[in-house]
Amino acid sequence: MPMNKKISIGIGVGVICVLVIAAGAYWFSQKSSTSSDEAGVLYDQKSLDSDIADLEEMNADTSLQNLDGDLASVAGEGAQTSSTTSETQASNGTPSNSAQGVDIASITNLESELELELNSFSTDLNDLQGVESDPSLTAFDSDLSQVAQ
Amino acid sequence: MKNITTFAILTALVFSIGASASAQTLKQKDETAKARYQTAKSQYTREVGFYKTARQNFINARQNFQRLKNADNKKSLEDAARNYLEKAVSTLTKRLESVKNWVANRRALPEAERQAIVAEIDQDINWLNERLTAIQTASPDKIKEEAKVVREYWKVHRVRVKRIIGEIWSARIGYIITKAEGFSVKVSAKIDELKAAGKDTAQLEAWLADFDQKLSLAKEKYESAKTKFQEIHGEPGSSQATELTQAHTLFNQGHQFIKEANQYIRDAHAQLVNIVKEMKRIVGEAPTSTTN
Repeated sequence: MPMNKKISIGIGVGVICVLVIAAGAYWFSQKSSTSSDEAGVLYDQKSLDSDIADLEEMNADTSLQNLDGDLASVAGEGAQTSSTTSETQASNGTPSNSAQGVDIASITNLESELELELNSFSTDLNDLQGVESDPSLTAFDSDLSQVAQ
Repeated sequence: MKNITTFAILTALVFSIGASASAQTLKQKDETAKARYQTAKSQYTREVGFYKTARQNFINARQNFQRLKNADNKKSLEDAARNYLEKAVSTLTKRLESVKNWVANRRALPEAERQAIVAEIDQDINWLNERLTAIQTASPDKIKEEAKVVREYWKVHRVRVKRIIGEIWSARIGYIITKAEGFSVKVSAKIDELKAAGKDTAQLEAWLADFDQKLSLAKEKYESAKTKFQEIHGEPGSSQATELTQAHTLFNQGHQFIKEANQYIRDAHAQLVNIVKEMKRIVGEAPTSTTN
């Protein structure tokens, strides 16, 4: 076999080997990338679940439910608004509405206060029911009887 | 002069601390109480973990002794039994302390009932502390007797915890009812003011009557619940199994009354919402009769 032909076959085999190695490397890198993509998706999923839980908690947050009433109470807004309106009407020459002098801000607060009490009570009911039906000490009696024997 | 200035600064500081403390809203107070209870509860959970480990060690030591009855294994078993009993008593103490913490820090409980419940829990905690000391110093033979005593107490404890929790629920719902009754008086006064201002308050009066009726029904349910919980003795007699079953039945019946009372107050609250909306409308509406 001529020398040139041998060299060509050698080069051909070399090229095939390189191609096979390259294909293997490509396949491996794709696999790794898929795994990291999967991990990324899983992480995103967990992160999303966590965010949903956070947002649900925020949505259920009642921290500021009394804000309006409290601010009105602090600012004495109910009374002020009423008196301001009465003054405006008087200055415009229109007759004043005596009912507008009645301050109902305190009543508005009562409603939100009762709501807060009821929500707080629901939490308390659940808390204490958990204490009563606590399963941590189910085998307590039989275990103590073994020590007593 | 320097002393006067120092005194003035200290006084101002004390007043400012007092003012900021009293400025806490109901919501903030509830959050603080909740955080304290969570701490006590996590201490109890940790104690349960210690108890479970001690229990497993005791079981292992007993198996070793049953396999080979020598002096070393006997000593290990006695140590494990003592440690197990100590952890059992500590767990019950922490359980009661978590409930006590709940009661002591909760604002929405009448003071007299809060003190009575705390005193009842303290009595048991003191007894358990005495047992703990006795167990720590007991001879190996006495350990068995201490185990019998703690076992008897456990039977009482289960019934007593039901009664205490029932008492707390009753006190909580009683507190809300009293508060709502006070609201009714204030709303009634406000309706009188509107009436005096020439407004039609018929609808408001009807809703307030309904609010009062719902509160009255809630109060009936509260009284029934209170009676049921008071029937739980917490001192088992000759038939402890029967005592526990009865306690369970009474507790469930009381719980049902509490839930019904809660529902009536929620219905009353819905009427209060209607009253507030109507009052806002009346106060905000333009004068009609005087504009002609």
